[in-house]
Amino acid sequence: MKHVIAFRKSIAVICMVAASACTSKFDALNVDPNNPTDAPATNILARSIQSITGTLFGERLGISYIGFFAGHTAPSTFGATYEYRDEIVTGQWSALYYVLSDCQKVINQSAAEGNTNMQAVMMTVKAFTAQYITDMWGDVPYTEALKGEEGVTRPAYDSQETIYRALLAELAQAAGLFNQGSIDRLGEGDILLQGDVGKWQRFCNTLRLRVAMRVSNVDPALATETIAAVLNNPADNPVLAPGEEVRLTWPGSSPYNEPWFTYLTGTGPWYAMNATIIDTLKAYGDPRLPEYAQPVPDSEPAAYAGLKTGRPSSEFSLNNSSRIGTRYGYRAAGISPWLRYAEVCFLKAEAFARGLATGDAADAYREGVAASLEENGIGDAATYLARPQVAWTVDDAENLRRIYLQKWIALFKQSHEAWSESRRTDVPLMEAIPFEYNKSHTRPPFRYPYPTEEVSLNGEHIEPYLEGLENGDRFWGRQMWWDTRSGVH
Amino acid sequence: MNLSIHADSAVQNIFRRRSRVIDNIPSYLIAMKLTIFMIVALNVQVSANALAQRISLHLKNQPMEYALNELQRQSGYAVIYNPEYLKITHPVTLSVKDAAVENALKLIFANQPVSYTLERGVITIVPDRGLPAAATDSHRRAKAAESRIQGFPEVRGRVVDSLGQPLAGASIRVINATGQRTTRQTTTDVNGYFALTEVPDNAMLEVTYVGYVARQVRAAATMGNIVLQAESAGLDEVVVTALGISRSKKAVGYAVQEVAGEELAQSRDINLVNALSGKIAGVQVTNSGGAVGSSSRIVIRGNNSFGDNQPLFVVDGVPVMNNSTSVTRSAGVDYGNGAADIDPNNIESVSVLKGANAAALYGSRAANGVILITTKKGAGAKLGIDVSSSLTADNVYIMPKYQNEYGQGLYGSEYLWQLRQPDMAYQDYARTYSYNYVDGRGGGVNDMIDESWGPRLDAGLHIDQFFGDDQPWIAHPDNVKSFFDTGITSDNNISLSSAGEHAFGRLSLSNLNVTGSLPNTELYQNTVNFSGTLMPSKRFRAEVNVTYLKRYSDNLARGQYGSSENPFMSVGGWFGRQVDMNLLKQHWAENDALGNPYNWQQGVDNPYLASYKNTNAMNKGRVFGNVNATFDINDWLSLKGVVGTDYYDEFRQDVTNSRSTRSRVGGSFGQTMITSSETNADVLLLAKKELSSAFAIDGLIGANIRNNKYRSMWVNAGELTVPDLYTISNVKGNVSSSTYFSEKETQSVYASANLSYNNYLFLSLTGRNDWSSTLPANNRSFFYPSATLGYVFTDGLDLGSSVLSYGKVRAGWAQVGNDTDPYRTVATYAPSSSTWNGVTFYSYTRQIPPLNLKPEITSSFEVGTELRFWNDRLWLDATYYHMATKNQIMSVDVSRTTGFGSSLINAGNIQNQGVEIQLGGRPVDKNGGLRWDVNVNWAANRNKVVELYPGIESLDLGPANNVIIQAMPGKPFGQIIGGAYQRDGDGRIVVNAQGVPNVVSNQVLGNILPRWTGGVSNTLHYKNLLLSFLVDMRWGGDFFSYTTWHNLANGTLPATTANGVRENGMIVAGVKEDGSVNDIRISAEDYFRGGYVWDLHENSIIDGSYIKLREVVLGYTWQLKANKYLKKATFSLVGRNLALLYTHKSNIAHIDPETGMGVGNNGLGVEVYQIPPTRSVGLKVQLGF
Repeated sequence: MKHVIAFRKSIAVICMVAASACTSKFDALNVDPNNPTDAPATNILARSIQSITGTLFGERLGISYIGFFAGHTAPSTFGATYEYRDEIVTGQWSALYYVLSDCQKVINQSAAEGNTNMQAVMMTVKAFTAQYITDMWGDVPYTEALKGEEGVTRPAYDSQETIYRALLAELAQAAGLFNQGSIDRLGEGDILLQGDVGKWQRFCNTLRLRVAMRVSNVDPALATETIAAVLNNPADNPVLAPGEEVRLTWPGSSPYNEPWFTYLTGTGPWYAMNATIIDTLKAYGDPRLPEYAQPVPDSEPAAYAGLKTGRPSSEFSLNNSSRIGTRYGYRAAGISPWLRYAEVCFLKAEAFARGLATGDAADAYREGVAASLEENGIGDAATYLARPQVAWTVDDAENLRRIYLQKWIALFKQSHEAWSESRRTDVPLMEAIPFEYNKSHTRPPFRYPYPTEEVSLNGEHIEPYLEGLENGDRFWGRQMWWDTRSGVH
Repeated sequence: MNLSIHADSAVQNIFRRRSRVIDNIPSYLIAMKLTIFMIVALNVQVSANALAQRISLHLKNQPMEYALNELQRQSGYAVIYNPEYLKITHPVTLSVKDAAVENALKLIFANQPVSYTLERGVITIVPDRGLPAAATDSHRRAKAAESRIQGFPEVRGRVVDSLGQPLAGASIRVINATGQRTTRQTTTDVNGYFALTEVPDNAMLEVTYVGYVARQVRAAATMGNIVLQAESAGLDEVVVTALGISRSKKAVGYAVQEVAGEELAQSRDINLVNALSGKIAGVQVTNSGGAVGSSSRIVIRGNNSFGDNQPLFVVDGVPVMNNSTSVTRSAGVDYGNGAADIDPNNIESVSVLKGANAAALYGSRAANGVILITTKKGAGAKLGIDVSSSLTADNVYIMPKYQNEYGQGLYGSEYLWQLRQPDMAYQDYARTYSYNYVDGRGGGVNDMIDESWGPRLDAGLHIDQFFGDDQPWIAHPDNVKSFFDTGITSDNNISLSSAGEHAFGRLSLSNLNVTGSLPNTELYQNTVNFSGTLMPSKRFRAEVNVTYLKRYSDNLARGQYGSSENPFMSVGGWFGRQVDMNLLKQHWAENDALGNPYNWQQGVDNPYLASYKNTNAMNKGRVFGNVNATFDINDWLSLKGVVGTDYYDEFRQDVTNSRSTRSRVGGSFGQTMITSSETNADVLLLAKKELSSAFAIDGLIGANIRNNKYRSMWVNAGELTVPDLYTISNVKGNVSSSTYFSEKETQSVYASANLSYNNYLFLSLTGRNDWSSTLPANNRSFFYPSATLGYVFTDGLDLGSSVLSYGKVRAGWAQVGNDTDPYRTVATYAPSSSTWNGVTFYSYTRQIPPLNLKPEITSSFEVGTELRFWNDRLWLDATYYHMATKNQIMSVDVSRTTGFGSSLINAGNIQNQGVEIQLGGRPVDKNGGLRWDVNVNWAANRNKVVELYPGIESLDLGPANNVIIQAMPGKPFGQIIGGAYQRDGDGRIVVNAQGVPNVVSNQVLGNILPRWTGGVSNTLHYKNLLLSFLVDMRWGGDFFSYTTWHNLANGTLPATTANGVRENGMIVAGVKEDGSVNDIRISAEDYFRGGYVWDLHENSIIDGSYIKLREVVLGYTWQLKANKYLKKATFSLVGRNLALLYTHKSNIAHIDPETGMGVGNNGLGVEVYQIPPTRSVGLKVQLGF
């Protein structure tokens, strides 16, 4: 057995050598040389802004899907109806929650470091995104969300009401942080507002108005309270000023071309203008028509025609319909509008008209229309405002409808907001889709479908929301908390 | 066989023994030796090629003398011995096939009282444990025998086979009374007769004939018929085991199966992995389609891990990389798997170590088995030149099926015409509502629709089309098929081998040229392989094995899904059935009248433009090999060092032409540069000792350092300033770029010991401890052992009989630990690949980092038996195994609402158990006539995911590809989850108010794992003629077929026109929601193309069962005159992938049921517009000089 002992001795020696001398460098060896464990907040801000814009204002949620739901754009070919594809839904769901997660990272870090401007900016960005998440899907995880590192891998769902209340609280907190006068800068990564903290503050407060108005039908008290907090204290809570807009201007060079441009000039002319908006603009003699839409090809004189969603493509040809206007769809260095000044006016106009706040609704309405026209390069608003379908009337209900409609027109290229507002106001009235599994519905989908993945990964929490929803209904979903329309399905 | 490395200590031992003995050798022996050496030398000159390096012996209680003569005959080595020594030897029983001489010698001399030396091609028998007294004066008797010059003036006889058929050209050699082979020899004539003059008394005649067992018969004046028996179907008796050590299969306690290199080279598949399909029990190969150079996935004994399930590839004892590109559904060029670089021309044998038992000594990565490749070494032959050349034609052989009744467009069916516009003529309806071409961009009627729901073909219609107005609307049934060319594969190899006193070696050059069946696809590979062994002294031996290869292509096919990316995506489905492919081929480089690229529509590229101008080039240089040296410390201990490396760099460039629909401005391109290396350094101390006459032990202890490095650089220009100038400085806008580097290291110590008792009971023990840089410091070290026991009960219990000639049982248990990839333990931020006006984006990791990562452990247990009956006419090797992998390091998906997409954890338990059976036999064996060998491989594996992680109900094995492939506790790995028809209690489809089926999502639709796999190979020999064929089969194993799914929706599958649905519409067989029988008539479009179909996957799940005629080889070998330059010539007709003999009826699109996507878990169970596979038929010529 001599050799066995020799084996043992040798093993012992080799073990000792290997274990002690060589593995000491393993800790250093396993440090990732490609990716840092820490990154500047400003670069995360930049990424968040770009990611939100690419998702919410890109092809699928801008032109396709939600663009269709909003009545602004229409599919010109295959699937000339509403459809959803699970993988795309999953991609959007993921992208938006990842943004929230990155924001939260920076919020925590900035709070710890006392960089209250960055903290407030990120809270604003997060709230902007979170509102769109809940407006798309309704009840979603919020209070337990973003805690993966703390071991919460199956977050509970919150009701939309809870989320809305949280959003308003967070925005109020952010607004307060802006007022602390911190000197921390936002850095080069503020690709949205170029480091203008004041403008961020105004954006933040305007968002509070937007969020408040959305819930005004279901929780007027909360809306009133919020609107009052903002509008009654303009020194501490300024909102966007005339001419001010929150929008991302794309560099216009590959790979950061404006997303509509990328798709419309790239993969093929899948999209045209929706008949709902084209017919409205035509009926009103709206000067924005040639900005929003291109004439039907080879039409002389220029004629405009929209596509009706859900009509078989044998009933139309792309060559008989209007494509999206050059200003909005065909500029590489184009814009993605997050919030326009016109919307500020319409928010106020509605609040005044409904008595949620005190002010001149007609003035605000006219200012909103004029701001939208001006944004589209049309200086003369008077002519348009004098049109019988546009002018302020003596009928309050009709005035409110006009506010809604003009807001919906002004929200072009903000398909998400336009879809939400049309669900809240039922203005304009969207046609039912006489096609396939959409047939039984009288309105565009009430919400966006939950991704199948979420069903398998967080089933226990999401199941209650899917109960009783079969097939097409799973797509359509149920009405939002703030959607008080009745008799729609 | 890598004997230079591993057989060394035993051989060196013998050298030393001989050196002690040689001084005592009597002078007559030296004289005798010299004489014989001269004779042998002469013989060697005459027949250089006779020094074969491989021999086969099948002996059952044969005298030692016979064994040595046989060895001499086959090897061409001289054997020198004093016959007296042989008198004390025991009869020899063994069976080896294609074994190295050294190994055969070791087996012949195992447990013999004499030993041997091997030097310079001369084998000398030396006394070992003292000679019996009788032998001491043997020389006197020998001399006396020689002095009697009597004998026969003439000896006549005839050589026949067992059927009495004459054997022409058999060799008869005189062996004198002392047992020495003389130069006196003759050959038989065409009728098998021979005559020899002056044959001494007591002489023997040695009768040899290729393919037959040689005989020695005592000389007599009239010999009559000498009957030679054909060689029996040998077993792979000597096998290469872990660390490349050749061991008697008898002594191995786990399942190993070998494939001779010849068999792989015979019907050359350009991917080595494919060539293993059907040849090894329990091995499942899935290739990813018919594109040139595409990768293949190989799994042994099922899927054990949520990570990589492929075995480790080892060449000459050193691991080589089998990296492959990650191919996903939507993107990716398949650049092949690393093992495909290995040139079969250089392979001596492939040994598959199936379980973790076999592989404990290779460490972590061997948990899924090891594919051990031994390259040719050139030992033995003084000078040998081999040339082989093959040329095959490759044609698509599993063509998807298409309908030829309706062309491009929408709403063109006769049913819809009658429904919508019954008053219109069909001609007018078709042009107005269904299809009419204006610009292919939507300007006409549905002229950018890439579906075939248009007007009826061959109905006399005239419609404006892309090539002219008012053209006849007619079918082109072969339009898809005509897209494919005949591919050509030529494979040429020349090798030179040489052996001398202190060295031997082999140099080989190979050239492979492949042009694919897809237009403009190609692949080239040149391989240089050198193996050299130096033996400067008896105690020292050094060897180098090196392979350098260059693999390149100007264009590999882009697969998967995405307009214009995979040309087959449009051609294969999203296509007009009326399109004349020849027009596209003739005019692809031109523009149409409107200035657009000539095409059938403008939404996708002309498939020829895509093939010729959107290219994916690659250029890879790779070198792998090892240097090793062995030094004998004493007669039982030696020290060995091995350094092996595998390094490659690979350049890739993908280009999109400016005319492509994918191009934005000026075209685009990307370049990737990859370098990757793996270096292994081992030091081993090897021991071998007989403890007593019954007990023997051999063993080793060793240490290993392994280092892996990977570096990549990627640049991409999304738009170009000057069109189609593919330089990065020509970028328009921003360059996207990234660099990546990773490194990991493991250090290990290991030991193994093999104990044998009376050469019938064998115990092996191994142990290994790894330290991995990828794990947290506290879990960095992990140990894993193995044990196997083998018992040859026919020897141990002396049960051997004429019925059961050999029987063995074996059992083994093993653990293998595994680490993970580098940099996974800490969360980081990831940068974007291009800046926004100079601002880099950073985002946080999407994977929750692990808290305390531990190594994962695979435990396996196996039992097996090996039985041979009727002198090897029938044999069986059966194994049962059970494997469980626990504590898996796995990335589990988490709800994205956590802010993360996945979490890296230790969890899960997957169990595989199965049975592998190899059954072989020789149903027909007519001596000198037909010989028929059959080999059956069969294996069934049952997989069960025992648990995942508390609270996790399922684990997605890859990203969703519309269906999700999941692991679920209690279910086998790979459940296919997707949308199914809603059904009532009786299983009837439920339709909605419109008469269209309802869909329910998240249903289990199938499972990807096969029930069993198998292969049957047949080899028939008739004289010099060889016919072999392999049938390969798989039963069960579902997959989701995009081709089927999409081609139902786009109206190209025959099912979309069957049963008159386009003429009469259809009523879905089923019930309405209220339970009444459905009576709602709908159009074919409503059914096949309705929006619901995108949620429905059940209709596209295919049962992947198949039977394929995988290989046929028909060969003829000429054994030419030994004194001519050309010694041997073989001509073979070879065929590969010849026929799909069976596919399941669910395969309505008729695609290759064997197909997969990429090689990772990502691509499991999903087929995406697979490039159809090809059938190769060709000619192979092998010449030996």
